[in-house]
Formats: sequence, C-alpha cells, structure tokens
Amino acid sequence: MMRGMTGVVFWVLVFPVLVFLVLAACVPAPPAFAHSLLLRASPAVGGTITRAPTELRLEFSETLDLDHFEVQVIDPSGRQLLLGAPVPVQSGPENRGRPLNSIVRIALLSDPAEPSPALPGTWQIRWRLVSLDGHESEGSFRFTLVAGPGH
Amino acid sequence: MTITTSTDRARPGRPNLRRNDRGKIGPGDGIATCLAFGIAIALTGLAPSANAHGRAGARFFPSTIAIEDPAVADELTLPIFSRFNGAREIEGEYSRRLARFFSVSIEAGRTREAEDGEILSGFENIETSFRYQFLTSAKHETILSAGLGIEWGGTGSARLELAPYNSWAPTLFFGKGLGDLPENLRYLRPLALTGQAAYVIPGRRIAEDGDPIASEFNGGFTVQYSLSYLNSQIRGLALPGFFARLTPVTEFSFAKAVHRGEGESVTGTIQPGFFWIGKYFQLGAEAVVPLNDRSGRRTGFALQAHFFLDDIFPGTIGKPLWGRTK
Repeated sequence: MMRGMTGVVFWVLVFPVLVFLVLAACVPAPPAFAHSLLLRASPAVGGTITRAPTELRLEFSETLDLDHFEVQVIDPSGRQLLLGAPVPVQSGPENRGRPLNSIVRIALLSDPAEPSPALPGTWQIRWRLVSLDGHESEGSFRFTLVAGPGH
Repeated sequence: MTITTSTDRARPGRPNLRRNDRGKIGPGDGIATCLAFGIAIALTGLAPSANAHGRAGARFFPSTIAIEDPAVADELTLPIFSRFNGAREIEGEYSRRLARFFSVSIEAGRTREAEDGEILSGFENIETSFRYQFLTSAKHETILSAGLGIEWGGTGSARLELAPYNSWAPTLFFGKGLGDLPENLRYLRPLALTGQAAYVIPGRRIAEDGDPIASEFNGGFTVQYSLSYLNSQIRGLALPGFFARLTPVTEFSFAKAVHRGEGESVTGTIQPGFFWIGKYFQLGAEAVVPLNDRSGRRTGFALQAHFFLDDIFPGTIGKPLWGRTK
C-alpha cells in the first residue's frame, strides 16, 4: 500500500510540478497577463449601500493593462455615468502580496450638462479587459443603493 | 453468438472509444483517415468571432476529467491518474489549435490491471481528435463544437489485447453557463452544464473469432458551480484565495453498445469532485463511483493536472498554428 501511495504522490504532486518547471525553464516568463479574475469590489458585488458612490474600486487577480481596460457604470434609470480614468492603487501594507497594478480606482463624475442626484435602486457595473497576450476577460455585477440618512 | 463490446468494463477518464475487441484492418481505414484530414484542413478557413481558452463571456469552462470541455484550446493535460475497477491508469493529452477555432489533440495512456490473477500493464491505443468550435455566445455563455475522435488500432501494447483496427467517433460538445437566469434566481447563475455525445463506429464489424463487433453510444454531462463566478458576478464573499478559484463539479458518463438495433445495458460512472483554477494551470480531483454493478463494484478516484499553454506560451505553442489569435 505504501508503494502504491508513493506512486500516487509522484504522479499527482511531483510529476506535474516537474512538467511545469521544465516548461517554464524552456522560455522566458511571459508578462503576468493571463486571464484575470475580479476578487473584490467597492461597492461590493451584490452589496447594498446607503450613500451614493463617488468612486469605484476594483481588485483583480492579475496585473492590468490599463490601455485595454473598459468599465461602464449604469444607474437604475439605465443612464451610463461618466467615469474618470482608472488609477492604479499604489502598493501598501493593506495590498501586500497583490500583483502590481491589479487594483484600480475609478472616479464617478457628475455631468455638468445633466446634473442629477444618485438614484436609489440597482446599479450595474460592467468591465472588460484585454491582456497583452490577447486574452479577454469580462464580467458584470450589481449593487443596490437604498435611501439612507446620507442620501 | 456473443457481441464483444467496449462496455464490458467502465473506465473513468474520457469515454473510451473501444477496448478488448479484435478484428482485421483493411484499406478503408486509410481512405477514411485521409478524408478526415481533408475535412479538417478545409474547416480551418471558418472562424466565428469568439474567445478561446474555454471562455464564453464571463464564463470559464474548466477542462474536466471524464467529459471534455466544449472549447478548443492550446493545452496539456498531464497527467490524469485514475484508479478504478482494480486498474490504475495514467493518461496525457496534448491539444494544439491549427486555426483559431480548430484543434487537433493526441492522447496516450498506460494501464496496469489485474485480470485472472495476472498483472497486465502496457500502453493504450493512441487516440487523436479533431474539433471545430462553431458557435460561441458571450451573452448566453454558450459554446458548441463538433469533432471526430479516432482510436488508432494496434498502437497499444499487445498484451492488453486492444483493438487492432481503427475506430471512429463523431462527437458533439456543448457548454452552457446559466448566467442569463433572471435576477430572482441569481444564486443559480454560477451553475454551468457541459456535455458530449459520441457514436463510436468500429473500423471492422467482425472480430477474429467471428463475433460481430458492436457500435457504441457514449457521452455524458457535467454540472458545475463556479465560486469565482459567484464571488465576482453575484455576491462578493471576499473568499480566501484558494476557495475563490474552486469549482465543484459532478460528472456523469455513460456508454451503451449497440448491435443491429439491439442494445445492451448501460455502463458508466458518477464522478463528484472539484477543480482549482490557477493562473497557468488547474488541478482536479474526483471520486469515481460506478453507475451500476456492471460498471464496477468499488469507488475509485481520478486526479488531474492541466496546463493552459496559451497563457504559459502565448507567443509560441500557445497560439494557433495558422491565422490570427483574435
């Protein structure tokens, strides 16, 4: 049984690592732009807030190419909001271990030609990015703004 | 009169094309092979717009163990290690895109089993498959593809008594994410279904002992629930890194021999498990539960390591041989 377990450990744990190391050693490491996952957001994915958001914060699993990163914010009336340019959040103690430029902050701008208060209801965020190797990642989520003391 | 079929013993891993049959090889195998290549090359000119690497919109379909995922991609599965029905098997598969939505893959494996008190070990017949991804819908998180699998008879170890003739398996694949469910069912949106259906045609109809060789229906489906989809699309749970990349899966595989309209009993497996999807590779682990007594009597397991070559080597072997990436 021990002999069988040794074989399992080799083929399941050691062998794939060896294959990966051989593959990785054969060519220079590519830029860290594989498919990116959205890990956290503020306002939170599926969350509820009581104050109108003034900025969006998105945290991804990989470094972002900000030249190929698109975000849309749509309020409950279906209006697409004006947004500032995405700004990478600088590394700090709270971001330790995160890839460089994987967290961005995006300001929600008010339109001088059409000022309107933030509407309570369901807001939608859509994002899309293309990595340097051509891989696309996209997603969307919602949060709810409810009328509160600060609204 | 007995009918020798491949469903005498269910196997985990991919639904097998054919085993334990014997027959004679003729010139028809070569003509059919050339025809398959010709059709494959002709299809490389067709290219619907979509993403590769198992993605349709916000949905990612992992490469599962028993049932193929529906996408074409540049990838390496090495190994799939399984233990079931007294046999241990190690398999590997390499897939390369010839064009953006057309791929060819080659699969090989080695088996060690006990039969009538004797230990038999050796290599399985090599299998090749061609696949064309003809529909991808990002909005509906859907992928459809079609392919042709070929088991090359006589390429495996003689002691395993594998089929000496080729077998052909036209196959359909699908993948559907449930991200378009209504808002009141949003917690079901991380669910996805994938599946495949194949009809295996043996290259010969009569075995060496004079018994007819049956065709076979095989296939199955998977039910998946993506925690990363839940976390990024539905409800931010701030999951720890390991759990944020987990996808619990249950696979169901079936096989049924058919001879002149007469069916035999179904064999298959149910394989609950999970996949961890990393940046450059994924790992999978499943229990293998026999569907019925004919399929086996004890639960086994299957383990997988799978590498995303289009992410590891995007400029070389991780891109289509011909045509643009996008």
